[in-house]
Amino acid sequence: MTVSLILASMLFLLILGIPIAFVLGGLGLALILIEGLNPVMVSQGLYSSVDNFILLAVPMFLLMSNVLLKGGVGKDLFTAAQSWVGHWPGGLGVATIASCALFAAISGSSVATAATIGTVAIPEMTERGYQRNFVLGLMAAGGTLGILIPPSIVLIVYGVITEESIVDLFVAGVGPGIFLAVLFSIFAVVYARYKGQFEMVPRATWKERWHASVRAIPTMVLAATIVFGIYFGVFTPTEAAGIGLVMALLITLIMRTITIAQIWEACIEAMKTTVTIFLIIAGAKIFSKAITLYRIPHDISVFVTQTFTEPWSFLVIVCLILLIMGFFLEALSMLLIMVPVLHPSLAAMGIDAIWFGIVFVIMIECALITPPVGLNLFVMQAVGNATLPEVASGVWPFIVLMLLTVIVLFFFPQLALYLPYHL
Amino acid sequence: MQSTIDGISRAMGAIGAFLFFVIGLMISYEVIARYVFLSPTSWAEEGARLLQLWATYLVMGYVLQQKALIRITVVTQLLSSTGQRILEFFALAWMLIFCGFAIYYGAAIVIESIQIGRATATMNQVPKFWTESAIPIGFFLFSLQILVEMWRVVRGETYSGLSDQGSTHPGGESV
Repeated sequence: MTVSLILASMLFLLILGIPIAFVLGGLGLALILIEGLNPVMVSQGLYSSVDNFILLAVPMFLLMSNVLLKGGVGKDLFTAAQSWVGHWPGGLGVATIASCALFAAISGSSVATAATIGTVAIPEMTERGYQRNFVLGLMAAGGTLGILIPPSIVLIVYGVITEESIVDLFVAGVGPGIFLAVLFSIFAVVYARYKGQFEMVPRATWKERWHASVRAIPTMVLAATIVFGIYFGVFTPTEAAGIGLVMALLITLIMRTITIAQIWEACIEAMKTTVTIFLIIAGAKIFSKAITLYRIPHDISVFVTQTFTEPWSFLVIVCLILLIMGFFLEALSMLLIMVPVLHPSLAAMGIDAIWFGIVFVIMIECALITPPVGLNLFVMQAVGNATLPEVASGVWPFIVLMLLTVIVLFFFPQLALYLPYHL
Repeated sequence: MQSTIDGISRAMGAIGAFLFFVIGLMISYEVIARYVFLSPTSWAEEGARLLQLWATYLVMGYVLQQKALIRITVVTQLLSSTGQRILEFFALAWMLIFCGFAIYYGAAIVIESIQIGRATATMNQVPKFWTESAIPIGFFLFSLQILVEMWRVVRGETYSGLSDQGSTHPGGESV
């Protein structure tokens, strides 16, 4: 009864258009007051949620991606990938996904990935006759790799709220990230062969390949420094983000692709996104504290273990709920509302929290491209100068591929768990 | 008065952006100090967290002013302009009440920390009120901006506070 009432109140307040951070924080405050507890917990929650060294990685990675975005790194990556695979049927689609995967290895954000690569790839593909809704769908889906392939801001937040190792989460994202990128690429090739309404790109000469690859090398070195630096324990994810930022600044300044004004713009944009995210985290922390006082996560955990005898049935229901939530809620809000409630049930169901984190992120990727509120749809509208129906009609095949990846992960959990547990 | 508060929020936005940039440099310096100078600092991590708290809570007013707070507008955008204004006013009032609690109890924590001389349990023993003050001060500045936005809604001026496009904020304010 209490759970239904809280859920109904949350839904009602969200529908009224109150910012998500304040729905969560305000509802948490109301629950604390109703229980007659000291509201000082609210201020303590606001303080402790942001006083966190791991979370510092969020503004750093955002700042780094924004610097690289302003510095036109997307063009270098796309040109390099195109020079190697562009002449294949559907090769530009493969080059787009490869550039997204590479940019994902230096950015933790799907928005930054979609915007950076989309700016270059969309005009190039449409000029070559690729169907517009396919291009927009491919780009929207490719952008979501930004939150699966490490570093990932969503995985950082998941790690902070579940207290799981960020390094393990990052490493677990590598296998499914590459798998999904390969699936998207195969689809691009098959689609191009089936439709065939595009102009082939001439094969690049070895000289052209060399020149294009040399320009992309600094970015690849940056990606390798971050991923291997974290993995081999040279630095923490937060420190990796700081080093990444300095390297991004050096690369763009040395290559003279960024101005001081653009660096300042990158700072402002990273700051806005960071504070928006941190406020939702702070609100979710207060809400999560309040519902713990009402023993709601415990009650849900008991309900889950009594109702679902097999993990698969639990996971099917969770994925369905996430899919539906994804139509209306933004990615981080989904994570911050659902994970504190579901996390206690994972151990009871014998589900690995790292594996679940990866499945959750893939479901969030779906949410990012499902209309009407998928964030990447809006990015594609802006970058591709398109309408929402145009973008939305192109994303469905990719949602199916993402759901297929979740099924593959269920039957082959090692796809995510081999690296963190065996290397 | 309205333009003064708008100006304060913009200034806080610039300070916040600068602080996040400084944090990046501090963290990078820590890695360099550890591996190049073989002498890790005692201040970088603590200083970075201190700046992060201030940067986050100081710029809330700017974020509100820039339409960057994420919310769902699937239903509200179907309403008439009067209906939308009523709900916008309600949303701002809800946030203002929350601010009241954050300011009051945040200030109580700061006063207590000053009275008992509470400090961080680190080598630097930084007084806790240095960081705790960010909550009441930040929410006070935020509530000023909320009042400005409420005034705009009452006067029927173009509302500049919350996202008005799509169903959640479509810009770069999420990941």
